[in-house]
Amino acid sequence: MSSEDEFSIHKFFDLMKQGRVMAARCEKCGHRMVPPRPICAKCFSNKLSWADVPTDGEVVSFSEVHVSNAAFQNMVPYVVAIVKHDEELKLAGIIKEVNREEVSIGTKVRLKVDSTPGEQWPHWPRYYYTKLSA
Amino acid sequence: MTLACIVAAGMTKIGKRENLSARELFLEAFLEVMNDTPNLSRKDIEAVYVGCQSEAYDHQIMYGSLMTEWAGLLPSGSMRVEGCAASGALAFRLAVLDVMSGLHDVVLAAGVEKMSYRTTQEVTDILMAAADLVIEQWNGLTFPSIYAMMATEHMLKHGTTEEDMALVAVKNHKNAVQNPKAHLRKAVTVSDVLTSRPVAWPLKLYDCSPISDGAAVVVVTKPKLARRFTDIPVKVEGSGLASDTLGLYSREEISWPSAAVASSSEAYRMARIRPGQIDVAEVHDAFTINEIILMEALRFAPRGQGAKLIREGMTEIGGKVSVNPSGGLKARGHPIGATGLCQIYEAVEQLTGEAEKRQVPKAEIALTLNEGGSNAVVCTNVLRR
Repeated sequence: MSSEDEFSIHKFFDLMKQGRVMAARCEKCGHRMVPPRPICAKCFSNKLSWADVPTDGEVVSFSEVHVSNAAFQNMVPYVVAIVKHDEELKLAGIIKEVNREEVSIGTKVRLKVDSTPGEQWPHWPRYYYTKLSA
Repeated sequence: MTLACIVAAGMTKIGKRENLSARELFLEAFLEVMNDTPNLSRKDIEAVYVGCQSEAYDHQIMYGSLMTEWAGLLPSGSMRVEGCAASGALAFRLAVLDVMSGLHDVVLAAGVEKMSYRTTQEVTDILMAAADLVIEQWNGLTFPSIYAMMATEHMLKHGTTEEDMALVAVKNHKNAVQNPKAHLRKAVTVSDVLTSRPVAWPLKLYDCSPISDGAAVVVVTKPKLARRFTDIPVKVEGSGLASDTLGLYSREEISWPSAAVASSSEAYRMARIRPGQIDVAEVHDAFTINEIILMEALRFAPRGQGAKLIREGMTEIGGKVSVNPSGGLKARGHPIGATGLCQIYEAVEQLTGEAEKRQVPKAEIALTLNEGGSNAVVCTNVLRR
């Protein structure tokens, strides 16, 4: 891979195959981005490095999907959420193995990577969340 | 300063139009304009802008050329413009900018979508294309669930309830009963809404706009030419356009639509009016929660208190500000690329006193707010009779 596409979305998924969800971090101003970008969205510097996304976070908001597209319809109902990992990083994803009564704003969740080999998208590679017991 | 004038508007009946394709729907709306505007001839129309969301419904792009051909306007220049559900307002915006630039005197803005070819599961997928691919689409976030997350946050932060959202549906369905072109001309009760099947909790079926077919067109001219075509031109006094992050997940506060605030502020400023002067507003209630949120963004209510207006009946026809007298996206229907122009069509009907049983008394100033994605692109217009 050439250096130009080091901080690419393709690389983001390559890293995920290895079990890591990572942000591109700006060496100049410290801003972190998921998915990564080739230049900093804040200061436009191209001096970047990889940083692990903190695995634990809390639910900012959530919903329970009952009607979806073909790729996800076999999973309904499933809970989706926006999760805050720290003051800067937020992501969206599915919280597995819960129903919506078990989730509220502020619920603590943990980021995990599905490492089932051989599976095709949308099942792999991908990240998801599980609820942390109180 | 008046930016431009609307001298004619046409719209199909919105709904499941089983035997008609997109081009035929467009022609139906265009012929309404031609029939109602005797002084307008085809050779007057110098350019065509068409809003259309997706070729995934019927594998057709090039709507600019196709609509120009079907209207009998060749070789006028044309283009299709896309901003998901804001496509119609974007086409209108281009029409206004075109006449403002001095390039043309008379131009056509159109919007069209033929959605009912597809199943609900397919439509869900086609609309998901307006969400961030990597983080939202690939994690199964449907559009109802994206707006549902705004609702969940608004409920916790501001005490908005599922009943409040249901009241938006009740009002807009009630208005649609009086609109002969509306998709869902059926009154519903709060209990009907609350007991309808879940789509994306806390949103239920009756919190969501329907899958509609339809088209709408308006003719835009330079102000000094307007009276050649109509006795009651509608003046475009302000137009604001703003963008936000494509992904809802990266916003600072997910139930505060920054682009709607920026776009409406720009439109108010340009039109030199205050929010309190708006008599009638057609706003983007794709999901009931969004009408509540937009009441705050438009400064009809203080931040966090959008639900108060619907609880107190202040947005009913004839209330402090009449909101969605057409029935809105919720009940007039939401043919995605046409919706922005359906809103302008209703504003024109209201300002020219043609809205019959849903007429807002003494309507002088109207506002339309059309958005694409999750408030990711928002176009607001202020219109005056």
